[in-house]
Amino acid sequence: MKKIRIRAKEKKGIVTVKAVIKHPMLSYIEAKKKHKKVNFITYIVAKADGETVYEVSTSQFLSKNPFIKFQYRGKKGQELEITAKDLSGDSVTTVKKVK
Amino acid sequence: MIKKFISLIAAVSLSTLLLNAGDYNKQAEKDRVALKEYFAKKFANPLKNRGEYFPYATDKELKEGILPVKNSEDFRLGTYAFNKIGKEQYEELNEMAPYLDDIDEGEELYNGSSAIKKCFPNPAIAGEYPMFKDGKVITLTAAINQCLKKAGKKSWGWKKGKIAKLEAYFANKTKEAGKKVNIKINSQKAMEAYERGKKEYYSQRGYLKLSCANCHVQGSGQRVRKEYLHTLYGATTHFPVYRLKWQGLGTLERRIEGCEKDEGENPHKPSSPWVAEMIYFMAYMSNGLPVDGPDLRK
Repeated sequence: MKKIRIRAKEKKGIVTVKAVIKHPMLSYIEAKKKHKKVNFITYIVAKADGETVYEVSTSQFLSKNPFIKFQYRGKKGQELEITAKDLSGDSVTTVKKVK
Repeated sequence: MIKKFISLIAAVSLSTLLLNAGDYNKQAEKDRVALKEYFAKKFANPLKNRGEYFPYATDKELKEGILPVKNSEDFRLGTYAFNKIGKEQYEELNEMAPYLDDIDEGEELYNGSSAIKKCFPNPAIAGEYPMFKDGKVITLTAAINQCLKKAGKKSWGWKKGKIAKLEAYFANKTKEAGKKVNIKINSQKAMEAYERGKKEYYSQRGYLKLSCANCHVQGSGQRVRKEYLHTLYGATTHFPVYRLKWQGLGTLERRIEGCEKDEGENPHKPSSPWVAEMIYFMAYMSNGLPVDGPDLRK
């Protein structure tokens, strides 16, 4: 899977994170129509300096190239690491510093 | 005595030559300033001027749909300058813009081709095109394709794909450098090309008998079914554009072809001088506005 595009900004003690994960995200019915293999993201987790700040189990309901946005209490300069795993066992991890 | 006379004549003729060198865009400057003032007046207070400019708008639409535009530079956003709901959706989508990957691919194309690097050593030139060179108007798309042909390679098309991604990279670099649209009219022939483009913009054609000006000068701010029409001022600053209808990037030539089809006319070829002169006229009308790089539209 391709690298995740992350934007993380800190303001008044709260960090806002926006990220896009590039993935075709085909549900069972869509894959059958297009004659391709089923594949969608099942698990996304975000850690700031090793501590988990965002964790979600997903399924077929997300559409192509999911865009996630969340906030947590943090500081500037923290190392934000986002991991995404999908049905076929593939996974991708990207690290970015909070601005 | 005669020497003085000759030197006087030489000085006068030289000064008139120098004065006339920058004079070819006199009429064009008059047109541009008149256009800017017309739009500033039209959108200053839509609710008050509704009888003159917006005769078919309802009350609710004038309160929420057509907002006044205070700063002339906002017109480069197209309909999002005065359409509140459209602007909210546009800003939401622009948080993670869909054309960011295309800019990266354009950078790879630029670095991977030595021919293009030689022709365009400085990538921040999107505001200078189209220019009048060698007796005809050359747009950025035409310049890139010419460069490739000289190096012996195939041209990259005129509407989408690699050419749009490379143009997106150039436009993004121009936007980061903070440059403005800077089209020049420097000779008699360039002025004639500009006048031809202007005449084509204002003439009626197609089976609907509409001219470009009917919709985008006279009808700007009004609706066609549910879509608002944008203004001519600031129409070309944001190309190449990512259109949600295309789900991809497209050049200005691609959009003009689609517009001609909507009018009910067989479209001209994107490489023809008709399209180039039309772009020359439209781009001159947006002189002085900042280049917006690739942008998002419906």
